[in-house]
Amino acid sequence: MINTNDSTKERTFDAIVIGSGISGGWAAKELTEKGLKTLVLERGRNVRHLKDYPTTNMMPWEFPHRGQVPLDITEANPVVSRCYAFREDAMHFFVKDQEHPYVQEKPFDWIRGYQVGGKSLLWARQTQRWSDFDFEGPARDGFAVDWPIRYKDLAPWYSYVEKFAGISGNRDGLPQLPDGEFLPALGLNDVEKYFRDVVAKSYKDRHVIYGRCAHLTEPQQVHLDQGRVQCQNRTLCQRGCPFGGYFSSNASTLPWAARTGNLTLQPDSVVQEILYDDKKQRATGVRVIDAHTKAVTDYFAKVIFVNAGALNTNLLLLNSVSGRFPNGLGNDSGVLGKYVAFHNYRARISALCHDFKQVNDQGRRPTSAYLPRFRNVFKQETDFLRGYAAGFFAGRGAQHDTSGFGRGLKEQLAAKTLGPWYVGSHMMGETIPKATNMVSLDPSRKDEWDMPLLRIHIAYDDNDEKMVKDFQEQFTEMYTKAGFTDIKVHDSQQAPGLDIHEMGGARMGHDPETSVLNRWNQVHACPNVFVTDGACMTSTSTQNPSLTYMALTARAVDHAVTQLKKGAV
Amino acid sequence: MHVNRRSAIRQLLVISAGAALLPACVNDKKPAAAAYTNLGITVADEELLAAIAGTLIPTTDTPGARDVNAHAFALRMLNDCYKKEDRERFVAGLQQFRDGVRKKYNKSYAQCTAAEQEAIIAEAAARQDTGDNAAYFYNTFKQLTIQGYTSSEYYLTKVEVYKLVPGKYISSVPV
Repeated sequence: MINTNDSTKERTFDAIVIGSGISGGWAAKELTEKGLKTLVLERGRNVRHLKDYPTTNMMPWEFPHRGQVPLDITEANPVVSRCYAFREDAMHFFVKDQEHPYVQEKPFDWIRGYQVGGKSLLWARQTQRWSDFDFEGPARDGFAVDWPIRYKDLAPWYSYVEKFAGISGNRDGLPQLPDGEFLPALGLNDVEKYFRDVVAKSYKDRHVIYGRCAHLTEPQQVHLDQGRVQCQNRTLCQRGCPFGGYFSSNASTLPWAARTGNLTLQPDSVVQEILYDDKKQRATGVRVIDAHTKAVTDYFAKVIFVNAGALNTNLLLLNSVSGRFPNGLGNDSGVLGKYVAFHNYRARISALCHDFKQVNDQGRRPTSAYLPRFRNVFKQETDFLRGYAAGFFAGRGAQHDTSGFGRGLKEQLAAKTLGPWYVGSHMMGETIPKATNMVSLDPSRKDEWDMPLLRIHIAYDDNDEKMVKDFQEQFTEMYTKAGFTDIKVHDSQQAPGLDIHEMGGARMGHDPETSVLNRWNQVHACPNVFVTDGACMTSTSTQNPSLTYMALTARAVDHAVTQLKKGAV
Repeated sequence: MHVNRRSAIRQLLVISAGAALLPACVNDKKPAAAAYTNLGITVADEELLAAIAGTLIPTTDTPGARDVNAHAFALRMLNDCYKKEDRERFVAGLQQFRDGVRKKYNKSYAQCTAAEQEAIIAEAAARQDTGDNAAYFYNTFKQLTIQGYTSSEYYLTKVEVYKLVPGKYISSVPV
């Protein structure tokens, strides 16, 4: 039943942001800073910075199962249980399978975080810029559609969000991975430096650099103003950080937006549809169902930012039907929900390094080494399209002999014997968006909030298989050149989705006939609706995507507000 | 209906979150056999396991596995995190162990002398690769006892100091 008790005026804002994750938080910050009264709707519960991080200061022995998730939970929730971060210390920040069902037409591990801050609490915090080798990819290699923007369009916005979020890294001077506004990097350890040098000597186009990540290694005034201080290298980020050492909506953009006095943050609010007025020819607001009471209320605004998380944004747009848009908001082209892509994380490699016995590193780091994409960057050179980036990590720890029992075993467990160096890499492969990798609405089944279940039809293809094989071959070769031993390659065969980098479905493009959004992330046919989360992505490249969502969001808000002032939206 | 199920789940979460905040030792000190509902073991079994933990990693001038309740941790892990068939193998192996001691020494493991206990464990260790229930019991309990001991407050504050807030990262130090 529609709630008509309160006045329409109280439910009317300048802007509505749907979702409070990494891109929704940025939309909220930018809109409120520019003076717009902004309603942020979050489907999950509130999570306040510092106050709602229940495990953040727990010691290892305080976890009843030392981090492991009990069997009854993993058996009831097989999808989320496959996520590396779904552990005893952070499982309260993940959606459980049974609470929010979806339909897997093909296996897809949909990992979600329904709370204020969304997955920005849980992300892996790796932040690389795209280059024109990425933006020009679809046009050069003949897939998807041409990106309607280039690096120069986004570069100033990368700088803008990097300065505020706080990104640590080195200026490496690589054309395929543009430098940014960096706080100091923590640095590679001796084995990582050794591998860097071996790779540099053996391949002119391959580079091992220190990873770029959203951690405050040397906080600036703008970070202190957010109430954040230096990262203490706890590497317990998934619990929420008491120092605000890494960037999250909770620690950074949302409190910043709140301080303007222009923010209304409303948790437990599931947006069912974006309301479109056929007469006014514009979106007028959103319909919200209370997550608990199920009361339905409409809210209104001049401009709407959709940041529900890539696949949920598709779900919401598909479910927003009107006389003008019978197939979903902005879906004149019929491509909405299609051309979804992701990152291929299937292959890993590990090995041992028996040198460097006389050294170790000390402490912990929030990242490690990174190899930007080196396949098919400057020209096509393999039998597959595009390529992969990779991590590289080296570390060693205490190695205890657990044989025997009694005093002998006890002494072995107390011995300070260091084992050999372990090294490892994982691939992050670009996948090609295709019409057949798509999501749609289930025609009959609905969830508790009267939303159709999302049907997911996404799979690997031959290009992905070739890339897995190439990663394994190339890294075996590089590890062999480095003299590493016990080299083991692994193909996890994990389903798409577990990468948690699902993108597309409402892609940007030049042409309304083949895309949903224009170069400003505006719905072509409904210009007061902006989509700036992963759903907007035309292709995926190999970079961790969040930094690009942040930059696209800040840029889109700037455009939206300019257009609003002109009366153009 | 939906609301009730959800609020029930929420209450469960609140309760388990509360339990998670209690220091582990508070849970460990009461006779807890009844709490391991998936295992169906007795208080006597629990006492037996405590004694075995004491043999595996003994109390010396420093605490051993029994002092840090590693056996209670092992039971909690078995009860909460192990599959039914593995729990059943463990309990069957435990019974075999208990009955074997009774048959050979005509007393319980706890009543045996330290030398007898060491002989019993040495015999179990010698059989660890046989793949039967008794070996599964011994190997699993030993591994969980080691995990419980090396992740205990004692071990992580006195032996290998765990730093919640490590601070500065140093990329190279001599060892």
